[in-house]
Amino acid sequence: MVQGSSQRAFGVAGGGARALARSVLTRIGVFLGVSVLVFCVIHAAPGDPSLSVGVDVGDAVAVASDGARARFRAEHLLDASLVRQYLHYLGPFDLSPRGHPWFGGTGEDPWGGLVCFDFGHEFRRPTISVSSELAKRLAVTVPLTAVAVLLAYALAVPLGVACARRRGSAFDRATSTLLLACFSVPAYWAALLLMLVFGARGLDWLPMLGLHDKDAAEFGAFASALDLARHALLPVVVMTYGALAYIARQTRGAMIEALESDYVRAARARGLAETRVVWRHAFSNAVFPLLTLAGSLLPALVGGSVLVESIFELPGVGRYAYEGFLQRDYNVVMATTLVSALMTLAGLALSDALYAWFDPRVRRA
Amino acid sequence: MNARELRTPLLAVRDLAVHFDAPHSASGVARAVDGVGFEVGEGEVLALFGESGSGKSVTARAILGLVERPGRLVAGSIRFAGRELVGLAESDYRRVRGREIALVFQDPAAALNPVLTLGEQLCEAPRAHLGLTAAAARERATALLGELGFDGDSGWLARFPHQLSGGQRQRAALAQALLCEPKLVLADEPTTALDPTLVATVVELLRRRASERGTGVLWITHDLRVARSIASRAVVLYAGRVVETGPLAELSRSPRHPYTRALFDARPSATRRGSPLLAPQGSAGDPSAWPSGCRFHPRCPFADAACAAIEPALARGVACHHPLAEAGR
Repeated sequence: MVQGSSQRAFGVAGGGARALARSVLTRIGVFLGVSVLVFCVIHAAPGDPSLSVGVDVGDAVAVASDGARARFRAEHLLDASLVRQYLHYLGPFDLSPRGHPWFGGTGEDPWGGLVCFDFGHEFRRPTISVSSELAKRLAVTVPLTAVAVLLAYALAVPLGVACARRRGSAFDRATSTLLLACFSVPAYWAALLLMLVFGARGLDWLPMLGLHDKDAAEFGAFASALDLARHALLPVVVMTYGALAYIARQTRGAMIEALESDYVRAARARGLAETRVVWRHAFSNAVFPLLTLAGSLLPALVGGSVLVESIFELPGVGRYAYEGFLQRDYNVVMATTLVSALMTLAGLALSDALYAWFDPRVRRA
Repeated sequence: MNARELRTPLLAVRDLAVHFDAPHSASGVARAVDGVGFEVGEGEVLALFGESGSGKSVTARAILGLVERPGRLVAGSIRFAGRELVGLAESDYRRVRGREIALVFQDPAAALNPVLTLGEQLCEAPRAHLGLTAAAARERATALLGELGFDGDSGWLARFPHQLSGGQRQRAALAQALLCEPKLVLADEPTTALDPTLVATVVELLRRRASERGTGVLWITHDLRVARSIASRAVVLYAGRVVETGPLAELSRSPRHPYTRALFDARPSATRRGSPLLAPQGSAGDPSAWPSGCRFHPRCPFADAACAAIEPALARGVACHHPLAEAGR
């Protein structure tokens, strides 16, 4: 038996490395596939990026002349074939005039493109690199999303467990109805409603737009933290409630199933304390669907941030994507979409890893 | 035997009734267990017979105070070692469960939690009930596993259930039930899910516990052959009522209730080759609408008008208007 299990352990180590390599390659393939797809879609969409090209004059952007537009089109290969444009985006494989000398270019711009993690520059503001702008935007979106996810789990899990324990009771029915209502209310509607109620036109308790007060620069540390929290409250609520409702429903279902299992009955029959039965025996089995959920929730919240950030005028990735779409700024659209795809893949990898960590059958099977 | 009967029995169940709310039936209530009584003495193995839906498992759950909604215990008394369990506060009942009375499940492997180590699952009850330290509980668990045929390697406690063979899971689940040395073991069809070699192991183990340590065993089953190898007395349930009770040898040799005979005849026999199996036809029926009179009468070949009208009381070990031996049939 002991010998057998050690042999199995070796088998797992070998298989594990191969499985890891395979899953990494698969994910790279998926990522490139997504990039091709998005590239085709935005180029197929009506509209011309060169129409929004401007000369950056401080805050104002003047509309460019025909000559400037033609230069812009040439520089970004917008009149070239789609394949060449994609290769240009992907890296220095496009034989463009300024490319790497290996491909017959001048070598002015030898390496770039996606393979070098270079998302290019914004069309509208050519001095601004998409990567650096994206980093600023992520610094807004990621904390908001993280707070929303953590808050959703922190509230939904105890709620779902409480419902499962009191299955069929008035409390369970009332909570389930409320959660269903939450899940059904669209985020944009809830956002507008909350703004009306708590914003300047209603109770005037909370600021409605942006992340900082216009005088925030003069605030002290505490006041500026409070200001940030007040601005972030409504967006976080709007990002949280739908996920909360969904997670709570899933928790309730998984817990009901676990509480009816033989091992939970057996744990009760052994006279264990109810807290231990519920959390150690039932919840440790009910946790798996929630882990799966965590993987898909992250990208869903990033996607949802397009709406929330646009409504609340927050300078996050979602709003960046929205602006990029409006102006047909291909580089911005590609970058934001690919970051979101990357997050999706990371989320799935994370839930796989958590699954393996929690489930001994996956860990050692 | 007589001397034992004079003493307080280990477990005395009287007029136990467990009903389930059945809002979609005409009567609104399913009487799953409806006036059941029996006793289990120290060191005695009592077999509790009955087909599916006769109330066997509900009885076991009721003894442990684990009847779940929509079921509820509506009447009766459960005395364990002279102490009334019905109405006991939940915190006191918890000290009885697992420590004094243990339950062995129909599929003992399913009673093991798949994501917890064997060590954690085995040690938690002794630590909670007997106040053992983690180390003492592990020592105790290792000793019992050794007694159950696991080799002396303490690495077993670090294993997860899926790393054991079927038979090992089986014995681990038994260990889980026996670790606190309960005075009474409720075994709910403990051998139905097992292959024959394992059945013998389980039977032998529980029989040794009963004879060496005076553990009482309630052996809930529908398998007469296995029951005969372990139990001395038997109670037969039908439709939530006791229909016959007595020494198992006598019951199987000359059953007096027609249902007992049908139940025991519903198995192949080497001595009556060629004759058809006399399985009871149909089923006991709907617990929310048991038949009037004797609940077995619609399926009974000897039923008459009295059987349909008057419910027979349990007298001299049988609840039947026309007991078989008496009528000479």
